[in-house]
Amino acid sequence: MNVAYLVRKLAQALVTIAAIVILLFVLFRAMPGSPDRVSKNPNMTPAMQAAERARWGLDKPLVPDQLVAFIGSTVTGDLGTSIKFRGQPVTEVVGAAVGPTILLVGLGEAIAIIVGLALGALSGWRRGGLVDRLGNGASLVFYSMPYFVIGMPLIMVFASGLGWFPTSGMTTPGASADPVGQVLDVAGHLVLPLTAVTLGLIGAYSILMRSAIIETRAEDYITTARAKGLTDARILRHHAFPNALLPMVTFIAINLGYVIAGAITLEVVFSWPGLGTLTVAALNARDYPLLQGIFLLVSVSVVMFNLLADFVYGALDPRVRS
Amino acid sequence: MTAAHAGRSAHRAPEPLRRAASLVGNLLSRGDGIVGLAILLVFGLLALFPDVFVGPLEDITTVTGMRLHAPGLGHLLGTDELGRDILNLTVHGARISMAIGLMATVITILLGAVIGVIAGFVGGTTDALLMRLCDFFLVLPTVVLALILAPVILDVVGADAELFGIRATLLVIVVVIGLTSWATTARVIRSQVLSVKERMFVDRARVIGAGPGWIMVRHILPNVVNLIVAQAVLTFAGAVFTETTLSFIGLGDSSAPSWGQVLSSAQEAGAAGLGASWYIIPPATCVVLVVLAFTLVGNALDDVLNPKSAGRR
Amino acid sequence: MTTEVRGRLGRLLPDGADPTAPLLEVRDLAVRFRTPSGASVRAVGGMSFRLDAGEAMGIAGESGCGKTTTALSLVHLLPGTGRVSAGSVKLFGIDLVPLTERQLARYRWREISMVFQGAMNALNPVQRVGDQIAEPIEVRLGQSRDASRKRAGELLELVGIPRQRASAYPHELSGGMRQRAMIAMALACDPAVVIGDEPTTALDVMVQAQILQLLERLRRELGLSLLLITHDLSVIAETCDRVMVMYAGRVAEEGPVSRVFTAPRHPYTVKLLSSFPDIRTGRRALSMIPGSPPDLRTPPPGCLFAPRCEHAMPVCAVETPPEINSDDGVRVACHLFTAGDAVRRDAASEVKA
Ligand SMILES: Nc1ncnc2c1ncn2[C@@H]1O[C@H](COP(=O)(O)OP(=O)(O)OP(=O)(O)O)[C@@H](O)[C@H]1O
Ligand SMILES: [Mg+2]
Repeated sequence: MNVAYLVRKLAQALVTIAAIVILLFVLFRAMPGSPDRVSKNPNMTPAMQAAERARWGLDKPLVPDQLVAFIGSTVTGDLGTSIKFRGQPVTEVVGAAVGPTILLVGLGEAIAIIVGLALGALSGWRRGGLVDRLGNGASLVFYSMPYFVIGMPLIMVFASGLGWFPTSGMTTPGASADPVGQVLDVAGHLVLPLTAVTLGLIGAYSILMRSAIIETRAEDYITTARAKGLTDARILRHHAFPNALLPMVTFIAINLGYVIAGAITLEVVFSWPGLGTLTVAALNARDYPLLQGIFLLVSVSVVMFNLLADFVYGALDPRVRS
Repeated sequence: MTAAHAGRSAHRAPEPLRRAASLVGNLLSRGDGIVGLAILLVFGLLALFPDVFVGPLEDITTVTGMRLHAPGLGHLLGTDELGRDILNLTVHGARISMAIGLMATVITILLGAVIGVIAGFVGGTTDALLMRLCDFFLVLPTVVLALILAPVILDVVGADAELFGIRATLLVIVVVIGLTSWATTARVIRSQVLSVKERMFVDRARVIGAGPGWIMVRHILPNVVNLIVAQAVLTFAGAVFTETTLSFIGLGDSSAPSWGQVLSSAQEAGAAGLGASWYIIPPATCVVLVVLAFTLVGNALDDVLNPKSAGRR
Repeated sequence: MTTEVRGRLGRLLPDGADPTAPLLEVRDLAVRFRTPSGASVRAVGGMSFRLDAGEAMGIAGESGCGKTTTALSLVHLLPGTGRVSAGSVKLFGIDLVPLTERQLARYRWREISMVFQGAMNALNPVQRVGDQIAEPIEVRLGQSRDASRKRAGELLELVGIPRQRASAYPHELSGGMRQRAMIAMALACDPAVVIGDEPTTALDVMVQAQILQLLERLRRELGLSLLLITHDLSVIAETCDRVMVMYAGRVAEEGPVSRVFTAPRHPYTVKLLSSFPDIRTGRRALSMIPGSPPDLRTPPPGCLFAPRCEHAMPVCAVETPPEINSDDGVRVACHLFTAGDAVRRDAASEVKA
């Protein structure tokens, strides 16, 4: 692969992350919960105030000293301590919530990508056909629904109504201790939120894949493939799909970057103990250090997945590769 | 030269009218365009004259019903946990949701169009820098940024400030949507400007001695207006969607309930668990219908206005 | 059970083939496109021609006259709303027009293959060139993957590309090499007819000459039948046995290259030849043809060239000229040559002079 291309993309990613950290610094100082104000909190003992001021270097000039100190601590993974979860480092609090979110949204993404790309490819390939009219219609509707709008009716019908699935949480407190029972318990809790997240994601994948296929279908090499007497299915699979997938790679990777920001509203609806629920809890408690930690994690993950997109694109498209 | 100009501006007067007429005609010839426009017409009327349909917005002091009551004669769509009429809330929600959507769209399109046109037209380093800026804003997670910005903005403007009758809390939503979605618009418009610029007449105008500002306003802008309109409609869909999400997680204003805000109250009241479907379904349906309608109209416009993208969707 | 019929090189012909029939015989072929506004474009209106085994025929004519459309319609490759609305396309005596997509697949590439204009776009950008050449061999002829890869390598060598380049992607090859690879691909199933749709247009003159030499050599060595579409009359003069001049979706004149190019009859052929610089004399006798081709959505009655024709007569605006076959193998569709009218024959001799 082209080294210069990789290096350039990597450099761009680093610059973006640096910009995000600086943005955070600015916001951090402007916020009602900024250390400057926290350190003047009358409830704190003078000793605590002094420690806080020393920690953030508040007695030194804003730029460069405070900025350097901020960047330094951020880079070393010190994102401060949470207010809501008293004394616990932000990194730990956030770290604990990442797992459930990745389980829920990661799984939802995986299913939605497979189903959405397949549906979009079929719709676009047979434009105006039955699959297209039903599939594209459904995709547009789901695309117009925020996650929680999908989730709330699901709870109403399948949890509180029919009682097939639990209404909230990831585990039943005091449920069986054996590993198989635990997995089944989590799986039961997972069904409804996973359905909602998958439905919410399929629309965008399917709609985009559909237009990518429609665009590809008009290319000359598709005419060549038809002239070769290949079957429709083979042309779709070997010629149209691989080419239409290229523009999708970037989109998929960027979307995956948002896995962590995920379906905040959905987690709230299902009380799923992930980052989304944590975000809203942090907001309600005005826990700014925690909010910033989450913001940093989410935006850095988006940048990293963007970078990944460039790499994968480079690996898939021979024109970029060489 | 003067004569040629006079001749052209003489033609200009009926031109927009004709364009608009043929545009509506084209839209109406498409199934999705008709459906979208019809839905928007209904919600537009609701948003403009909510009092005519359901009377003034009910609040805790003027409630007329019992708490969390199922639909019945007095309250066609039931009541919420405070006894407010859901139909009343939903209709007034149209006004609030769409007002926020409109303001966010205006900000987005203004920022996006100005930056897109400048980047595309000036090119070079300016273009490169502006595009890097776009990349940066594309990376920012909308919802989390909103949560962080909300207190900052409230701190700056004061929680009780108002603009056009919209409270500061809602302004936060408007600003955040604008900040995080202009970049997409800017990119789309920039690429169109690049191709317009390629065309001859810009060079001709430049040779004649027109300044870059004149060329941008007089020659580039008319050629990207189509795209801006289509983009604005699509942005509106996104803005209503995002507003709903942000209100739902607590950034809304309970005294000015948008649909997202109503759904947020429903969530807090545990409506889904209690089986109070009448509390959830009306606002949820409205959100979906409006977002869907804007998307349909936006796509149809995009196809009709941009022959290049026709056939893509 | 039909008996097996073998043709050139002992190839197995499709069921129902008539070994005595001409290789390709097209009769009254008409193609229509529906436009988004609901109108109908008659891109090709009643074309007849015939291609014999081992023969090379050139198709010439202004841009938009329906050359590509004619070629694509032979094996149902018309884009979008294009449909064959009338006529027959007989290959070994089998009419391809009424066949279903599935039945037709048998004839694509194995009997009629194509070399398109821009190989950059006509080749799949994300598939290795060798694999694209091997694909029809594997899929259509049912050969093993290894055998088809090996054959693809041989074909590349045949067109003058080292077989190691089989692993290259299209963008890694030069324009001329891509076009050669496209030709190798067209030969993959050893087809009866190869159609070249402006195969050299995008190339520089040197490369163009090489590609034409290659086609000429392949035709001799493999006994190919070639249908060569091009704007460049000198290409046809050098490589083809016969030439067919098209105007607005119809045949204007058709016949042996030696006759048509030295003694053109149809006023359009005359104009076309004189609008082309004469390479031998170095004189650039460029004469533009005034006016433009008719709007094929609403074709006027009579001869479609009449509005631009210096020799137009009253009958030209009313009656579609019949195709007149003369003894020297030339066919021309022009009222000037309608037999039995002295005035017209006088005018005709004027054209020739
Ligand atoms: N996809 C299409 N839809 C509608 N009309 C078409 C389509 N393709 C071709 N046509 C019409 O068919 C006519 C013949 O086009 P065609 O491409 O066959 O011409 P051509 O002789 O190959 O021209 P060129 O020398 O430019 O390649 C044109 O007038 C065009 O209007
Ligand atoms: Mg052509």
